[in-house]
Amino acid sequence: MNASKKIILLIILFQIFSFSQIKSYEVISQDDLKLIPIVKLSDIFQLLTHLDLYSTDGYRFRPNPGRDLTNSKNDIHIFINGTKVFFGLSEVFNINHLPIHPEQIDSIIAISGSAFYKNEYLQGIVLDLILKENTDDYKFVFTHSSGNEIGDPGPYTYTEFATENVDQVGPNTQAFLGYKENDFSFNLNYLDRVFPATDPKILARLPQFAFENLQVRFFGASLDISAKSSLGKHYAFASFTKTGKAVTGFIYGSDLFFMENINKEIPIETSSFSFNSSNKFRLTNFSGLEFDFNAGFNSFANSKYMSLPEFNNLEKWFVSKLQFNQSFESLSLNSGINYIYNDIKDRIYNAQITHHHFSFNSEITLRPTSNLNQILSLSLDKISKPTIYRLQFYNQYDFNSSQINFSFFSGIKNNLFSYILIPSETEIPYDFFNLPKLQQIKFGYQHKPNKNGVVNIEFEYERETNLHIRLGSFRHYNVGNILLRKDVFEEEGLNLTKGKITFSFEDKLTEKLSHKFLYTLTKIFSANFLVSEFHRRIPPYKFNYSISFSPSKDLTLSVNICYSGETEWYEYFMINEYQNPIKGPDYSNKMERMLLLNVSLQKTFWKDRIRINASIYNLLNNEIQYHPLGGVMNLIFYLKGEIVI
Amino acid sequence: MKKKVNSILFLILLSGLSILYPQEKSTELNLGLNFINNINTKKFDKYWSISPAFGLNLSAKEDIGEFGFGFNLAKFNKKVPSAENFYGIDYYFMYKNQVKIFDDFYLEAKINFGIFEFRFTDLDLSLTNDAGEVEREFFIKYLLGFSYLINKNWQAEILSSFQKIYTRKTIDFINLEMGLKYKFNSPDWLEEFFN
Repeated sequence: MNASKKIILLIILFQIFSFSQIKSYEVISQDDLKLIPIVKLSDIFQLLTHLDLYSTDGYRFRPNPGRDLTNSKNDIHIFINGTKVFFGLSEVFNINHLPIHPEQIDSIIAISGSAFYKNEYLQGIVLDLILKENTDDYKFVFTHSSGNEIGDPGPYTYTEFATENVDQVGPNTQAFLGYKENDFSFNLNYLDRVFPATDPKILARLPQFAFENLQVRFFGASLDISAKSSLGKHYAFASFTKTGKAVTGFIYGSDLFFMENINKEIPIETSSFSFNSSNKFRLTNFSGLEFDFNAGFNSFANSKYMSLPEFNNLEKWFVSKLQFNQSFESLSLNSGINYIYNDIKDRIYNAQITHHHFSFNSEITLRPTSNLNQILSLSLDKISKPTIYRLQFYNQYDFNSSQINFSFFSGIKNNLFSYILIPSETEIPYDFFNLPKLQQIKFGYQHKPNKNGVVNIEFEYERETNLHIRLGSFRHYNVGNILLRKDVFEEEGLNLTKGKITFSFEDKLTEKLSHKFLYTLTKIFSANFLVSEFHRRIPPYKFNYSISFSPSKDLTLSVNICYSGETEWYEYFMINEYQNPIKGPDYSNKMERMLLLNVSLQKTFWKDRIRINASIYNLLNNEIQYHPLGGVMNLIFYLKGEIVI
Repeated sequence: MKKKVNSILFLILLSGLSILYPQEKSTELNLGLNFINNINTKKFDKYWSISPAFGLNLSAKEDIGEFGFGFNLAKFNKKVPSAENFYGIDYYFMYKNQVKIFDDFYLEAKINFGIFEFRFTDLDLSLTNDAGEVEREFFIKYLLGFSYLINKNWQAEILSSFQKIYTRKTIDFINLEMGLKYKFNSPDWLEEFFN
């Protein structure tokens, strides 16, 4: 086949895929955010049921599967107003450590799996927080909240039934000051958070750590500035975060970081500074240049109250993105390069690991008719010797009040930052010479029956080849309460074919009553044994229903129900083998079906200047657990007060 | 499980009342005084005897019922030397709805939820730290009963209640409660604050 025939074939293929549009992400609107009380940012996950996440403590949420696949790891990627922000590449990102006040958030775009977003290939979970534009001269919000997880000994503390204290969850103190004048605006954020670890399993894994230090004490501050100039639009976001010794107050609390490869929480003192800048320059009426850059450092060391394992690392990074875009009548081009520099220095042994990374991204958008959008995305990454590629056809067709969606993706399934991890003797080496390939087809339909209602259905078909799985099998020893790795299950060249259906609708039943429903069903069609067992950690089905009722403008009641199927973590199937039979099992590799019911009541006073929110997480007091070694989250009562000026 | 089902049934009853018998939002406030007598203490009375409790609450009518907040106070005296005396104070939010049965008689359903504070009074602080003086835990209380409108401003009520305190070893109280409620117009500044 000569070159001209190849081009004609490519155009024909492109047209075949052009009948529809992709809807590969979920948008949480400002109205949706009123369906749940947000005490910490991770509470938004209650609405984002289509994302597969797990947590060991209810504080740090990670993609599921996370970093288990040796040659393809998933992370959480955070964007603010479409600009990617970094908080240390080697840390699995905790959204609760983002110093952004929930009041600032206008909507959230959430993407799961492999996707092109903002002309960049990303793998895992992408969250883009779209912030409200400041409208007033000044706006000040002060929020204080605290929770109480049930299970305290109460009056029995001085009887033979005395048990450990569960204590309060929090307190959380957060404030922001916003200002706008003409084309200039800024937001200043402050966040102080205490999160105690009180689950018996977590306490048992850290017997040498004093009980009063078993809590995360987090401080965060950020400043974001938006400005318009004759050259274009400019945005900057700077943040400083810290755990360990308190910045305000006296409570000590290092980050209790759950290390997946050793199955244990490691108390880490961290401090991080990050500066992000996004600049959009207009060259002509039809062309522009975008330049983003990010620089920062992340320091992480063992807690001063726990000498082993001893480590003291400093990570530095510089990330830049240069994009050029050119628009014609029905065609636009967007191409650019990304460059990442990252180094991690071991300050004890004076060793250093440095990474450089280049990638090239290009996007062509065609608009053959007013209601048809076609986007061809291409990404080339230079991680090691082989240059890896991804290609996606993204199509969008609107008719009446409906849309049909279709996309095709083919390429290497690999996260840009997967290979960068905290140096550790027990770390599984990253296999980036033998990468998996992903082929994915998505078909979606969206209908808007009225201005408030929307119905979505999406079908997804995926084929992954050349997966490399390495799972450490752990056993629990009662003596010393330790978990030891006994065996390793490792296989390469594995394949998986799976499908997923996502169905959602939302509507305003009346002016006072709104609701939202989301259901996902995942089905494995064919897979090798180890892959099939590995994927049982993802609930096969999940649904979420939220309803909010506002009988008057100053009162809101909301109910949120989540239900998910049972899961099983293969590598932990022998975890109880050495248990004392009298004591009974503490751990299990099977998680039962989960039913979670949350209710919330919010009343505002003094013309919305004061807001009081009382909410109950897990009203039915079911045992909510996401991971075999994870804590059980029982009923929690939260009280939140807010002053808005 | 049976208790969970009962709780859900009660919530359905309360929601049903709210939908079928909507209230009229009012600027009037209700100040209530309660007397509470515990009638079950099974395992709990091995350690403590409970004195009658009293409490105060303040509420206002919204379109779907009455919302308010309040507190109750009771004294718990130890019956065995190993236990400790304490005051039990519950701070709560309240939601109530009522339906007229005949004349001035009403059927009432109420739910209170909040924090139950165990405040130990006779601790030797040289042997424990300050944090040991107070324990707090979440509770829910379901109340069902009748009320009688004495006149335009005064209302009397009698209710049975089931209170669950979610300590590790859960505490269930069944109480008989009597209350008096006084209705008054809220001052302008308070009305502005509530809106």
